[in-house]
Amino acid sequence: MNVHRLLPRLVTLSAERHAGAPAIVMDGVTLDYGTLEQRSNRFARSLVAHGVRRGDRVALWLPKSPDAIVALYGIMKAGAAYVPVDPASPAVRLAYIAHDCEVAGLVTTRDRAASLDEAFAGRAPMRALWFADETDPRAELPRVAGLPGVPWAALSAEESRAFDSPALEDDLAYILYTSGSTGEPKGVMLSHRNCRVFTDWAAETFALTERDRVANQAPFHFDLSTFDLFSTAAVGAALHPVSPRIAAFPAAVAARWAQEQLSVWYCTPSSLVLMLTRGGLDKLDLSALRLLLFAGEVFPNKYLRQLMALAPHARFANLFGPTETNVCTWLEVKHAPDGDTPLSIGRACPYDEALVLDDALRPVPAGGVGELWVRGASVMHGYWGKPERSALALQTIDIAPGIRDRAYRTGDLARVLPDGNLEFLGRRDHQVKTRGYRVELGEVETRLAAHLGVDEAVVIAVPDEEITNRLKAVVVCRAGAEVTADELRQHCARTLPRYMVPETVEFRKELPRTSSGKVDRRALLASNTPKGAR
Amino acid sequence: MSLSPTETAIHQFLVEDVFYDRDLSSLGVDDSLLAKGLLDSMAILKTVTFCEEQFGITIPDQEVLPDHFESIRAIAKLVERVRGK
Repeated sequence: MNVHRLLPRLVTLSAERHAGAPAIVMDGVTLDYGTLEQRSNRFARSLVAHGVRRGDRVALWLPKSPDAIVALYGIMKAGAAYVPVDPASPAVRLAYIAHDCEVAGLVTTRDRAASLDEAFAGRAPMRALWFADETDPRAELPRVAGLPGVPWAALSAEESRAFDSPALEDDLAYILYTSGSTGEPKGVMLSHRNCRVFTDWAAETFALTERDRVANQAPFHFDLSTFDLFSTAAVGAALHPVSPRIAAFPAAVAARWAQEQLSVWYCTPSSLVLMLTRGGLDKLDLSALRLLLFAGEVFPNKYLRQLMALAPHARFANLFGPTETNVCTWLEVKHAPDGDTPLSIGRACPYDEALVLDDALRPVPAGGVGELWVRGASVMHGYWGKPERSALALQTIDIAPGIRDRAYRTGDLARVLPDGNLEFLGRRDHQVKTRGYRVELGEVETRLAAHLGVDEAVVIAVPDEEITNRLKAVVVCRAGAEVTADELRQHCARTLPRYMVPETVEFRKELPRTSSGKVDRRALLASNTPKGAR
Repeated sequence: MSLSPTETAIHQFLVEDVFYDRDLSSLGVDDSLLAKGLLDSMAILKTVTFCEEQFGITIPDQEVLPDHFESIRAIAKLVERVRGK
């Protein structure tokens, strides 16, 4: 059985067409499609040999590398879903996620074993774990929660021939954890079909070919990476993942991409703006760049204009969508808008439908503002283990008179423009973006409030030209408690990913209130004037 | 091993303001900051700002590269070189 619409089939088919073509190029190492296919077959067999079955979950907690990509394909071939966790997150967050979706396996690196062992405290859901950086098959490996690790080198004992995958296209392919407003991350469940409607459409719409060299900047726990991985594999093009060593240096990344003559970039506006303002992009030869896609945040017009002027020959597109739907609307950007006119998020992709509805779930008249709902083939299966949250997010509603379907409630406010395009107007709740990452302010506030010295805490997103927002905590301490800003940031960093830790902490005797007694976030924001560009 | 004043200041800044969530008091001047992914893009921007304010210099964007942030010694070298110009 080999279902054609599975994500790992993309690699199998590209390997059949041209086994010797480069699949992954990273730090001077090239993995061709034939090798990627064979190694992921071996890993799938190793997973099965260690008890991983169709429908299981396997976590990835390691820096970006060709082996991390081998691992995610092997996991999907085995019929399991990969669960990529931010490699910069603390081990306790990995442990939380591993328990939450009861992973059957974990792929990590040796140097992480000690912190994992501590975070799991003797109790782990996995049946096995693999050390992707262990090249000695007989190495003595550290134990994590009593489990012996499998060295990556041991995979060579497994057969490399085609692996007969037990998965079907509606099985989960991956689970992406996003920030949760009640203080716990939630796992967005997406199937092979959910992903492929987008990645196949993108490969076709943007005319990717095997001659393209595609950049990969997004980490694998971020859904921008699905285009990089799977639209690239669909056409047998070469993927160029950014090395972890240079990822944090905009000038180094920009120089590398220009030098490697990458033809397709898909990035957040934050990272593109940093390349513009601090990366010397204007001094580089961008003649190879033919397609630039961006998503995740609003692109400031000023910088979009600069970027488009630097690559006048390239095609630009604004892709839009929450993790729950991946990309659901898109806009071909012919020229950046004038003045402050916001860039539209375009129209629904052909596999989805975008609905702008009022609170009674009726379509808003043209020009009116409503909430964006999305139905169609890319919409998630739900949140792992959270039936109530899933039922709120996914509702069966009237799509047209007498026609009902399941739709995802995005929480985004939108307006239908006269030309039929959509304008994004912000959030209904306290979800914000910083450097393209989605953060529920409530999750950070819950963590702060868990500190014994904190009476009340509010987190605000202070607008920033380069990275969209910077997080700032405003804290009222308990009477008599001595708490420092460093201590609170440390407290946050123990369980939250770095990008969710407030950059600054302000202490107040009390918080401003609205007449109804709620914390007045507007007043707090107003007293924090936005920083200008550098 | 004795640290130069520049190295001492950078060491103190990194341990207290950047790696505040980890126990890195034993961080050596030649230990790699990049191999283990200790520095993310926010941390690098903070470190650049600190050096500029602390040492009264301007670090050009094109100098903010992995080789110059490999270790405390490398950052100190960068600071001294920029200061000498």
